[in-house]
Amino acid sequence: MNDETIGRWVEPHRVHRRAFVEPAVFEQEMTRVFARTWVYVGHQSEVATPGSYKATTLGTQPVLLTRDTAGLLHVFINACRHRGVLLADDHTRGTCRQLICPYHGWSFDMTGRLTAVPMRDRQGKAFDDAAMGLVAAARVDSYRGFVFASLTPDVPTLTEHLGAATEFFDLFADLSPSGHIRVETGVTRYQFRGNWKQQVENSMDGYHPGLVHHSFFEDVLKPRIGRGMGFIVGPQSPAKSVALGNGHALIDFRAFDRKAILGADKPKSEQDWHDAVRARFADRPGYAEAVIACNGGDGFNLLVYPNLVLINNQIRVIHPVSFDRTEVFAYPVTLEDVAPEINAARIRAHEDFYGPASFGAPDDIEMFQRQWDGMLRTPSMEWLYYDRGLDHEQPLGADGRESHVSDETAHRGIWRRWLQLMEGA
Amino acid sequence: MSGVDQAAVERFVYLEAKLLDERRYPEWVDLFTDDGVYWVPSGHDGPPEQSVALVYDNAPRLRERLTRMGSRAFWAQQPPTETTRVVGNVLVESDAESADIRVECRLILALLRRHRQALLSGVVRYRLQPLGDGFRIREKVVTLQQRDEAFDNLTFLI
Repeated sequence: MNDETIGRWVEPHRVHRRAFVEPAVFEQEMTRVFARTWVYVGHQSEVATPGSYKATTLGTQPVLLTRDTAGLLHVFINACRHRGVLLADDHTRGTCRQLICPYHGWSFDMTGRLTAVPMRDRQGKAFDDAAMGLVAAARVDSYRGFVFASLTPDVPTLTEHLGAATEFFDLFADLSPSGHIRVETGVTRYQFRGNWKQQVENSMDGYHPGLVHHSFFEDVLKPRIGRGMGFIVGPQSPAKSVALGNGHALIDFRAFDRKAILGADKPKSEQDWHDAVRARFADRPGYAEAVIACNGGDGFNLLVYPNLVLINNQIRVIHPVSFDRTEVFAYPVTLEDVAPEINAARIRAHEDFYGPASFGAPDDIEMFQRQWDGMLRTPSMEWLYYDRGLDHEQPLGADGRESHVSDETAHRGIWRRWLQLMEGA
Repeated sequence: MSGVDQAAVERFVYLEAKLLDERRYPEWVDLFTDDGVYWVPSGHDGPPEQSVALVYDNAPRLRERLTRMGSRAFWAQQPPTETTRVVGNVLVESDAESADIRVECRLILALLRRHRQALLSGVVRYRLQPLGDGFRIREKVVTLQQRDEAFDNLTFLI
């Protein structure tokens, strides 16, 4: 498999199955996609205090997000420089003054500096403590509290990379009257036998809900709120499938009048919250209403390429484990300066659709399994098709394209970026 | 624990387990009081108002879960997860502040779906309301040993 081969696997309207099912492709994705662009590693509220850390993965590599005593954020490979022992277990959080390797006791402070080597005088003459700090990510930066790292220095600034996606981080965070969201109520984890790109595509798929989520929209939601949600993805829907550029993508539901769907009557705590948002943006009333309109349902689904998704109350991180194994972490997000019942309701709304026992995600996971069981074993059927809306895309902004929500405009943007990175651009 | 009939409580939890394994869900939901809660916590410890759960169902939501069980498009349960469970180590206590009864037991739950087998285990705590000869469930909390693991499908009832 060489670059020339990969170049033949992505056409404007179809993708070869080998892009999903080849173990060698997965290995290249880890070095060419995940190690060559900005990747989300956590939210600043998860490492709120000096000395706190979060162990996560960047691609398949274990990494640590830390906050040092001066309050600065760092990202390191989570492995002792001596013999590669994990310093913290995967997907754990904690607070400490030193990260101490349990094998031989080498210690590192939260800036990654090597601070102690037991029986130091036995090291070779050339041993240079200053050069033996933890291996740091080349770049670390954050936008609205979302912390990203790049393992290569050769990337644009984070805001240049996010581009048109920054607008949606703003809408997401400005729902909080303080402008700050929090990730502090736990995480819903799920996993499936299959490839990480299946969950990426599904997060941007406005074609499947009417069928896959029929049992939620029609059988549960319709009795609950008086109407089903099938119309939001039906032929007359004003919602859009959007490629934002740089592989970022969007399902944009904002054209719907949420009041018409969920009712205009709000409890007092919700009125107070919305009024606080309006007060903060008193000079931009149109923006305040745009923020508020994104609450309470599907304002938008945002994909930040390659593996971060913002949906409703949720930060979703798609962790590739191997070519045929994927873990998804879905964090419900709470707001600062709102009544406790507002945040409790956000947590319950998250459970409604997004956990392994919820009314939504398990039906998607079932489709991932069926898709994997199908495409993994069918070399006689080479191509997967992505041609919906190909002849109806409209330009959007500098690099974007959009068309009907049930189209595959978002997916084509994702694959264009995949090919660009895999070919070494 | 004077006045609490250990044998009657055990019969109740065994019957509940049987209803679940036989997927007699409407009868199972009817065991709950109108203010009943079915709670399967995640690995994040804390009150439900501040912690995401795997399941946190009040009675109306439990009925919605039942509705979904009967939907022709409930893909995650087509085919259904077959379950076989053993509950044991049943400890019964009367509640200090009410007529309710508190029960703690252990659960071993074997799963089979599409030729794949799995095992769940944990502690089940009930708060039961005595009613006539039997009981109603005011609260059922299933604390899974695996509550911090990544699952693919927990859409059956535990």
